[in-house]
Amino acid sequence: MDLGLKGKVALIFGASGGLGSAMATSLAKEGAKVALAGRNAAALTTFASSLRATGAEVLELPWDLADFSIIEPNFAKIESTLGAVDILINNTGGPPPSTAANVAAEVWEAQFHAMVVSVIKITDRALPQMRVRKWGRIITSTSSGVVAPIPNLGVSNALRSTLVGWSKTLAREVAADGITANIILPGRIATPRIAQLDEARAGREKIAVDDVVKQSLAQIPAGRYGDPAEYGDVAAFLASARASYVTGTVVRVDGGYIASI
Amino acid sequence: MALLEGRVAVISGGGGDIGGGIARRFAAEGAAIAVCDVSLEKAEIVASEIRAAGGRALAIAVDVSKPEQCEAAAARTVAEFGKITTLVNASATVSPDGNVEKIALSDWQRALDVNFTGTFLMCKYVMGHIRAAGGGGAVVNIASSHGHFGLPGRSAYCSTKAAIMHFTRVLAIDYGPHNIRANTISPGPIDTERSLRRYGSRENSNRVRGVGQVLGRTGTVEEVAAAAAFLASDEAAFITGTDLLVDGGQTSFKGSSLERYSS
Repeated sequence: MDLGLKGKVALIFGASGGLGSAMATSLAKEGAKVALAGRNAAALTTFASSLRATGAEVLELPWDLADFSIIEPNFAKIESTLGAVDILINNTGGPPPSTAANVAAEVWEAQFHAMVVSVIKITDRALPQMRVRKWGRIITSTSSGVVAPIPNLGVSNALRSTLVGWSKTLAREVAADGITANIILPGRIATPRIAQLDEARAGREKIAVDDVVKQSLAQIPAGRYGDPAEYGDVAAFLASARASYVTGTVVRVDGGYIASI
Repeated sequence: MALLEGRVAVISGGGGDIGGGIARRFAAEGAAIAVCDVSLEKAEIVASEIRAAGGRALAIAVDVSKPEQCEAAAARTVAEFGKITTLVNASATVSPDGNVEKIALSDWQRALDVNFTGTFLMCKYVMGHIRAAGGGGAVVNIASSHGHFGLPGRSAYCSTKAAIMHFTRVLAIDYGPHNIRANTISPGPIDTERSLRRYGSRENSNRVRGVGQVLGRTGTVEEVAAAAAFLASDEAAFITGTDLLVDGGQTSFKGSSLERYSS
């Protein structure tokens, strides 16, 4: 299958994290030019170098999603260096764990600004060029919590779900312009963050980290965590020319973890 | 030519990743195998694979921290296969990480009982049979690269692995006169079924744990088993009281940030 990604320009957020770097890697492997955005400039540079070593064309952009004033200059930089953005991978960090009840209004508002409005504003900035060229991909990576809310991730579950409603509505608005908008969501993918969370849980519950992993695995029909490449490849497929009729949907990459339809 | 023709090997932890790999390789080299494991189910899986490939194997449930179970396993092996010539200790337990204030005495004791005393007990009840079989014999105890260098929060595991190496040196001295050799193998980062489930795939495991390693990859259970077969065989007739690192060069250089994935 020729995915038709050669020379396409992809802007990937959270690019130095486990999922973001996997999506960037899968896209770069298919010949896309990748703009890597994230908060950790040092981690971005390290990842960018390793991608360039594979022959990919890479631009790294330190980018704090909460700062809307840098959207315009950053897009200008991408457009002058790599070209107009064809593929937008929205992928934000998560808020601290909390209940759904009794979280301060200021916290809700600040997180809404950083996790939701930022994504919407960035997408709004990418859309006009996509419309002109009649080709675009908006892929928003969220969480299994938007389908099966995760206990003690009250703010995350609520705010990421907002993006699901937005993405579906957007998909129907832009479909006639050759732009697709989809949600992808991970189950347990073996990223450094998941390893950290497993280790933290082992410490809290005073059990071996192997036992934490065993308990997690018991809930995953595939019997293993996902390889980040398995998540990145789904993003690359949805970004590809071959997925041109897939829009307004939610794709789970979870090894069967979420039990409901 | 089969390296272990005519041998009878008792393998503790034989239902596990490394123990199972060693059991399969030893059987392929002509040995009859007593697959001993705390899980009879896992031991039976390995034993039936060996039989399906035309070898001879027996599965025995053994908690190596219990002397009577070690003794019974040795006796059952002799009853089934007529003798014992070879012993591999590949059983180990995982315990919670933490500094010494956080580690419960019961967890520390369990690590000692299984990893270290378990090795002692299996030797205690098997060495006599190996001596009785005549013609020399071999013991291979599985230590770890983590017996050579420490890991944060893993004092029990790392200590028992270092202890096994030194114990095996004395074992070699004591049984040298009977032409029974004893050595350890120290595996480095190896892909096991457990680690593959945690990383999702061999590719991701290599990507995460292999990068920065001298050979740029993790090792396989087969590569550890090959070393064990060599040490157990006549090819290693003048090798005793030593440790063979099978670590892809991990201990040859200082500093590896990958150990946050230690497992």
